[in-house]
Amino acid sequence: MAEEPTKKIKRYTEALLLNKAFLPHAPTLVELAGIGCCSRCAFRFSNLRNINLYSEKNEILDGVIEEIKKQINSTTTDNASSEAMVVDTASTTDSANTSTTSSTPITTSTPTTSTTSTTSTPSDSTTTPTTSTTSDSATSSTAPSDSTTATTAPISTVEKTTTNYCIACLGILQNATTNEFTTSIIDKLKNTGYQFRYYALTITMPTAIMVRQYSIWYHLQQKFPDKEQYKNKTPDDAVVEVKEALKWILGPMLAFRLNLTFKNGADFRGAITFKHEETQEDHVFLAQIDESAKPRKIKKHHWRADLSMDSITTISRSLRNVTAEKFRKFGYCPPKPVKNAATYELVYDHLSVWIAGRYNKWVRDLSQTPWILHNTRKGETSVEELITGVIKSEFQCDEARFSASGREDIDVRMLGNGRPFMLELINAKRVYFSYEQYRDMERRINSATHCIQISMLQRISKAHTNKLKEGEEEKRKSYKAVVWLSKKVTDKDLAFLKDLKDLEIEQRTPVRVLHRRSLATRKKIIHSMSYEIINENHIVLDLRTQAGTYIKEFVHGDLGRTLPNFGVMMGCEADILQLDVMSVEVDFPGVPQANRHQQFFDDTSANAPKNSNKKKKKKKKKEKRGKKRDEKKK
Amino acid sequence: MRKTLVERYYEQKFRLDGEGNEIQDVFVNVHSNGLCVIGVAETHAIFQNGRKVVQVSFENDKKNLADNKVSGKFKKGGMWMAEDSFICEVKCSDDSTYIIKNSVRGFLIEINEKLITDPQLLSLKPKTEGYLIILGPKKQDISEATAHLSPLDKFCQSRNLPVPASFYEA
Repeated sequence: MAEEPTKKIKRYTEALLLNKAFLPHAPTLVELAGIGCCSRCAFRFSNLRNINLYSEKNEILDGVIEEIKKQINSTTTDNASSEAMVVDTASTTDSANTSTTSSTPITTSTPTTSTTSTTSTPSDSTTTPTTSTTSDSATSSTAPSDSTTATTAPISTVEKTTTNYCIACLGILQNATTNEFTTSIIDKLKNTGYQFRYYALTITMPTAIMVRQYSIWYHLQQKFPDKEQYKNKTPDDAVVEVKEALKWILGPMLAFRLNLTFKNGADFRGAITFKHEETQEDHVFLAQIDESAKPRKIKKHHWRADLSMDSITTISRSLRNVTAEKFRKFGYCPPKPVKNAATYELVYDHLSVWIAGRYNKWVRDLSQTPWILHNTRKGETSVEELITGVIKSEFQCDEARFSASGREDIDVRMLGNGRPFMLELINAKRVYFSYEQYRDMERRINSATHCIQISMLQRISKAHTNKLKEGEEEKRKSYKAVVWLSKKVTDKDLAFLKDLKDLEIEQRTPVRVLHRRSLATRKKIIHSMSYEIINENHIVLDLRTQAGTYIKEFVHGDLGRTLPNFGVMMGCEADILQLDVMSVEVDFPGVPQANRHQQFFDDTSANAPKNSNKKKKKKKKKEKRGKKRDEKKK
Repeated sequence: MRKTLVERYYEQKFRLDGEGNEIQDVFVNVHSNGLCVIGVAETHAIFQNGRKVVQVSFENDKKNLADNKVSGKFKKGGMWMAEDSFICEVKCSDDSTYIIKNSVRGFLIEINEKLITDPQLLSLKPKTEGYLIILGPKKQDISEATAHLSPLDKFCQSRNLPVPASFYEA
């Protein structure tokens, strides 16, 4: 696609000049380019939302502005009472009035001759600016030979021949299409080590950006006092934000170069923070003049302490509270020149990834999770560690957090189709695995030890994780216990057990867990029982109970603190010799599917954290409050 | 050989108190998690000479242990029991009364209110269903608080009782 630059410039220029919504902004473009804004910022203030435009190279954009300037000036020479002229006269008189109140900072790029005079001969001074605009297209419209205002001086040259950077974006947008910036970002994203297709990007701008935006806005109000579009007290909503424009540029670029797509709530999160030391004190004057700001002692202290980290909210609130006059008096309007470009830092992480499965425990000397008693480790390993060891190495994550649907004691086996568990993987670098690869992981874990076995290993969405703990109380579990009875029993004595359905028992917190659970009496249900006689004093008891029932305590009674208990029901003493969990009736995580969705698992819609809606609501509320306050002031 | 519930989970300790007809021994079963189940040892006078327990009261002029309320995981709010605090008063069938005193300092977690309505439980199953209270010493304090108590073998020797074989099993 080799459209010649000159053709492109012409095409854009024509389109813009035909755009009725844009046309009133044309002089703005020229003005801003003249006082030191880069082309993109000039377009920003025209509220131009042509995304493609911002992605064009600087030379194109500079060229467009040049062309537009030419077009405007050609019309001004014809028409003596043209807008441009009116604009210029107004600016000169204005600057003459305000110059008396301002201190040295004001660098309005009106002819220096008029700044010190006190509106003596406005008619005379008009001639000088007009001639300069009409004749010289190479220099900016209103700039004198003042060397502090820069940019757009020699248009034909490509970017970065100037020594100063854009006063509005501190070089951020200005350099957004340079090779330096794009390769830097691309290299960083290529080398994160993470696997992802969707990314979410938060961008943090230096605080000066907002201050300067207001500054330019007030400058435009002053320069074009009759223009409708600058009547708003604040530039919010009337101007394209630097952040937005940058995202417009980055989005297509990253999609094209790295095949990555931006998506809110994506697994991979990048955070770009722009910093600019040179302007980090730009906002400080606001604290001194914002009367409504009631700084609490701590806030005031913080305001001074770390300037670059002063909160955007306090600054934006001050900006809204401060009047344009006060701003112009104590601040810089338009903004000061910028010698250095802003720098940036990129940090990133990956949202948690969830893996689920079911495990069986075949032995009676393995705890579910690491057992630490009085700072010493008891037992060599645990179900958790036997599983997470392999998973951590495959997924290359920082941490694997284990949780299961209940747990069994160390001396209790987990039989049947196992107990559901899930792992939350923190910062996993590798996340795309096929159905076969999950089976491989299972084999690795299962062959490494005879103690446990896992099955149904798969990735699940964050939303799906709720199912594990959901409705805990309603779940049912089945057990097999070997029970000793102090009296001899026959089938006659036991037959009644088969008819008992949904027996309600009351269990006080068993003494063995009373040290870490609150003292309470819990009602539990034994749904059904059956038995096999081993000998006169021993039976195998099968039970199906409500989740959370302490089986051991039901059998031996726990000093009479579970009632009724099996001994009481049998009219003798009972004790439990052995226990196995036969089944955990929870349908989780389900049989894994061998399909593409499992392999390139993209959980973005489900991952979008619920909080995001809260944040949006909060933001909207804040904006509403801010607007209300502004309206009240008016 | 099957170990009983108490033998499996608790370390059996005793406070030796008194001689002959006036033995007032108390047992403290210390669970592996540090909690102490306190009750009347079988050598106690209330079980001698055919006496039967007729009434158990957890109240004296100063306090009523039945008012004890704990809440939360850490059992906050439990009454503090000094090493010789009042636990209960036992009235026997021959009109004799005995005051059972505590032997481990800690916070009261639970009393066995079944004894109020069913005092015979104390005579029938003093070691299990007839326990008196459950108490929790301060975490750091567990070993110290029970250090002065006699282990099972010493208790048996002092009272001329056979030491159960299970005591020597792992």
